[in-house]
Amino acid sequence: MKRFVCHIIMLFGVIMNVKAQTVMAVVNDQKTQVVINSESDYTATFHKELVIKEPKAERLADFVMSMYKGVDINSFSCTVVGASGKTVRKYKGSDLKRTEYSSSSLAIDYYTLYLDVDILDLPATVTYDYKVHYKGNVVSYPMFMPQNNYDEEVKRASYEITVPPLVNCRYEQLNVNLIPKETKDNVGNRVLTFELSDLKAIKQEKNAKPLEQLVPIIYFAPETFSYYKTSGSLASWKEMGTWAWSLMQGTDILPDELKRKVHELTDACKTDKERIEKLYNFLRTTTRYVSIQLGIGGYKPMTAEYVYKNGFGDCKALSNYMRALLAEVGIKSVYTMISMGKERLLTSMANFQQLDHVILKVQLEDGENLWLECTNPKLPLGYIHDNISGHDAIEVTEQGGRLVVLPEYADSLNLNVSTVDIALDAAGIADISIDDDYFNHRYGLMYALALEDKKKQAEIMKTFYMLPQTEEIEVSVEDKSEPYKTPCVTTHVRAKGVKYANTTGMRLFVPLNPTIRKNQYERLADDRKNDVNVAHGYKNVETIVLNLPQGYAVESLPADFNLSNKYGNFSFTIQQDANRIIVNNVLQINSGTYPATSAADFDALVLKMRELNASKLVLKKQ
Amino acid sequence: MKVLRLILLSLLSWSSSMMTADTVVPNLKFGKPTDEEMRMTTYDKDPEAKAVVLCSLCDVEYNFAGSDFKIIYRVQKRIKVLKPEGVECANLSVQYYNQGTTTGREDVSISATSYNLVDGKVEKSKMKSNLIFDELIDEDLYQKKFTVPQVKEGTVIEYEYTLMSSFYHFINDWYPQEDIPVAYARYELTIPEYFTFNVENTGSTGQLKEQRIGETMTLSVKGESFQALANKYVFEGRDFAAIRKEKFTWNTRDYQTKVFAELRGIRFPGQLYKDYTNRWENVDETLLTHQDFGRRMNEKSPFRDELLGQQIDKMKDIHERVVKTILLLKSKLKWNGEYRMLAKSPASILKKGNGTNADLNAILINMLSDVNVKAFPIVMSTREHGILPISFPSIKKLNTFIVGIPLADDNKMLYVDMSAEDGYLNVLPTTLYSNKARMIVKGGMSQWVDLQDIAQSTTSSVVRAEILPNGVLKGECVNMQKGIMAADMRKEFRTAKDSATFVSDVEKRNGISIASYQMEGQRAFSETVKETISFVKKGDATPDHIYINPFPFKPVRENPFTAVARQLPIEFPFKLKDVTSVVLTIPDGWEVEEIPQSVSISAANNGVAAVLVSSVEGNQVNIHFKVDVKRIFYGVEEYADLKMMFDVLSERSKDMVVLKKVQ
Repeated sequence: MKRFVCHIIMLFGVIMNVKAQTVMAVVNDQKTQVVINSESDYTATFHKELVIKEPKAERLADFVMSMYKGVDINSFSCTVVGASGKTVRKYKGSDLKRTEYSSSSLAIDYYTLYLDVDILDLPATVTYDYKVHYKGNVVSYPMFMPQNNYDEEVKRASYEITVPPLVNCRYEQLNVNLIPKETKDNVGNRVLTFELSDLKAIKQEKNAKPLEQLVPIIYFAPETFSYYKTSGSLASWKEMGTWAWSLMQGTDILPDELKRKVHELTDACKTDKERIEKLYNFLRTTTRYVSIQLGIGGYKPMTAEYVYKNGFGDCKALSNYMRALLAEVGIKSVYTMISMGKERLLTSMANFQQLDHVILKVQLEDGENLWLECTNPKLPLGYIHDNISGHDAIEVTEQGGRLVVLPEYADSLNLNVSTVDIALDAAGIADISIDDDYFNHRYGLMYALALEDKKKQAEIMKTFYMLPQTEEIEVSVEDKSEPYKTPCVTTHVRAKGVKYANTTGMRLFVPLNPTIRKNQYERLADDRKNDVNVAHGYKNVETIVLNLPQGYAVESLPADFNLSNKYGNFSFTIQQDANRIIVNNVLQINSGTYPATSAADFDALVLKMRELNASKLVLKKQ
Repeated sequence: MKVLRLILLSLLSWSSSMMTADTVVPNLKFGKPTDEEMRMTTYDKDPEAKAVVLCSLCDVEYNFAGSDFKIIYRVQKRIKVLKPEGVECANLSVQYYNQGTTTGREDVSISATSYNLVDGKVEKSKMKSNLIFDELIDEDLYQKKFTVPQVKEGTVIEYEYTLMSSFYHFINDWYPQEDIPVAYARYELTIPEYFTFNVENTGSTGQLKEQRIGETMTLSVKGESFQALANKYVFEGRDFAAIRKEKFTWNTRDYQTKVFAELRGIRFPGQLYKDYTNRWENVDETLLTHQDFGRRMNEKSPFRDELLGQQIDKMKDIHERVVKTILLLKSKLKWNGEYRMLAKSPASILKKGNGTNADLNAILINMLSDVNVKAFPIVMSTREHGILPISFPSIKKLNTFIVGIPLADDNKMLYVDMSAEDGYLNVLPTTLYSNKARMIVKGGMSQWVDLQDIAQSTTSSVVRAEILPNGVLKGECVNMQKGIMAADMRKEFRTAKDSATFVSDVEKRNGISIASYQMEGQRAFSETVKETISFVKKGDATPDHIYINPFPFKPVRENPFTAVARQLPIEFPFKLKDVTSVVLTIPDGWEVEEIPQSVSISAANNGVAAVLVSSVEGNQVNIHFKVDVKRIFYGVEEYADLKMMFDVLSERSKDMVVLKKVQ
């Protein structure tokens, strides 16, 4: 019978439900058992039974694990049961393959074990069982995050952790609040069990918070730890900061030669701002980013001397180097750890998994704070880029760690101002000039264009705007940013002989706005599941002047429009002044998190803007 | 992880201005950059370059070490960093093989130094060995990554590496060009008399001056010195432009200037001359007797019992036998994403559950034999891998094979490949449509085949719709994709996030709303995929006019050729016939004022042709738009013509229908 049903589907095809959400995979059962032997020695036993339902989820069957010194994997097995219920594949430890490939770092001290599992028919059930022993340099225990993919359902998952009396294991829950079952094993160890069941699949949507902010996560970490011959405490951010501070000791000594250079550069400066500017410029012109993560070097910055000698370092090393340079001229600055992916940090749980970057804070004479991105000093001094603005961060000083929040730009200051001038002839060919100014986070999106060569810039601009068929195009991109001022990048495009309007018989169909492609947009409201999240708001102000060809008159013109709701506002005005058409667009989008049910309001704003700007003026020959 | 190697292969493309003759003597001495090199701020020939290779030297020599020959590559480069972005030239890597045996390993040693001008004095920073790191990439492929200290705008970098290879039968190809301009490049290749090589300089993106010199060299074998004659080749060139990417060229290296060396034979003292492939017949013989090639095609198939159990051998139609056999194999084993030339044993593939196309194709040939279908391997170099050299037969240049099945009637063939996940008989991944592939048949019966003959596809779109008084076009569209386009569509469907996203992408791309979407054949092993779509497309309406573009799916959405000029030939993936038929009903009380003009055009010596025919009959508008891409390869000189043609086609696809209210 089953075969027959399949046949019918083959014959009549599939009618796709445009609105459906597909469950790609189901975690039937996941069991994690962690047994802590001592603070820095534990074993973890993993069991996972995963049903792959859709071809696109096949990659979820693959196995990937990072291996480093002190980690042993044993008793690995993986079986695949096909749709028929028969075991079709069996893998063991010796089938695991190994690579050390790293695309982003020069050097790392771990390698990757992986297994590509082949699924031939669906649904297929993949079961993993393996045990890993971790010895030494333990700063965390495995986290409990059974749902780590979109479109994946979790039926049942449990996490059991056995903690001996001498170890204090801290944990903290995110997006969930479970009460663990607590028992004692036969030797008096504390056994905590966390259970989750029936987690519904999460749909991946535009403008939604990332998955890790939507699914249940529990972090586990030892309260005290030893790591490459150092020891520290994770009882609080303050304590963790104390450890981080201890690692930095002795790393900020400058060679005499460099001290002399620093003074040569700055002694004539009158203010701290000038000194900072000189030294940041020095950092920009004499160093570059190279990632080397070996041993304690994963957390401890390379010394200032190392950076000076080699002319490179990672985010820790470069921030610490800049700190040392500033200290030499009497400016105090603070090494600051931050996450580029997570806006908020857990206040009550200090651990390493939440942080991935380091920047530098300087308190200026006027009390204002300056945040320095030392890893990319191409960014203008004072600009807080969009991967860190508004984020929590941990300052590291001799008093230990302290949670602070970085400032965020007001939505309306993330501004783009456009001026467009179109001179159209009777054949539909136009000369078009487009000038754009981008500020703050709009600057952050565009500044890299200034680094491309002219040829590339011209190629990019042809498709960035709607100018694919252009006889001649001249592009200039200028980063106008100045230290401590609002960052700004300006683009000028002069295109000649653009095939712009379509001619059909007596008429010209003229696209209203050649910059429309700049604002690609997908509807959010269709079967919206997640809340709408606008991380950074923005404002676009645009003026378009269209000069009509001789002998043509406007046959149809869209009407003015204005709409305002909690997501922001949009206004469109169009007027004719002799043979010129003048359009004014203003769109502002407010940052924030909005309920899924209101997504249509967002669409209304942006889609109306797109629709009006994508519309065509109809000109008719007189 | 399957794509690991792919990621690492740098895909190079190119564009440049012609080489200009230059006789400035380059600084060949490493360890002391000239004052001029230290002070230069831009490279005249490419003022925007972020960096330039001032001098690139590669010496290749044979040496006798231990008990066997080795090849020693010595590469030296001097790079000038001209812009801040150019500092990335300091992050370098050298790939090498290590199979863990003395006959299968390469040893690399590296040194590097940076030179900076500080207060008028040259400051030298040597790279320490702790900045060199080994990394295992996959199986036996490794790389040494290293980074040069003190590199900033203005720095001169010098680095040098020696790679000692035990693979002395192979000499790596040499390419003078890089992704930054190269001011001077020289290649020196010294081959002792025992080895006979074809050494050839090809490509058109730069000129190389060639010299051949007879030399004597000293080899030391087991403590004794020998004098041997040697051939020394010297190639040098200047002012190579940076390599840039261009669309529609499969492998830029096909057209790029290069030197390759190919072993023809070896005669060691006191031994007989050993001939290495120098005629395709020799290649055939080598392949036919190869343990992992010819012999693999004559093994027992592991699925014989199942094939016979399903009585596939008894089926009358050969196509049916082939299709059923492929489907059975697909249900057993999976393609692992790799193209290979040699096949591993079926037992090992069965155990793993997956294999390369070669592994699976070999099993397929044996399975076909079980059902009485004769099938032969057809060897080739994939289009991505590059065109086979014209003059020198070479096994080294082949990188995979597909399966050819001769049909009884009029010399026709069927071609299949187990990497064609979404394809069908004759419908292969487009990289396999090589114009020079060789069917390997015993008894000197091998022959060349041009797979571009079957590299074609047809699509049709039939639209029936009505224009509503509010300016909306509403109707149904039936799209039929046949052949490669059907496979492309299956792939798009298979790799889309989900079916909802797939449909919404169709909507977005075409600016329509879809009320219902039905697809047939999207998972089938068949020639066609059919879509039936109910759509709504918005036009503009005023009280007395309606303006609407009549195509829910534009025949040519956009001209793919935007660059003003082009440096490399155009190679389309396949030939295509596309037909769009539209029948529109206009509402009562309205009349037609304009429709797209009928037109017939062709370009590039009729390589691309198109016809648009439109008419009004009663309350119906009929439009018929046919585009025919008849040829795959177009020379650079045809570019302007092609570009203009696609301009017109994309323009005509935007044409409007204008209706006027009857007064």
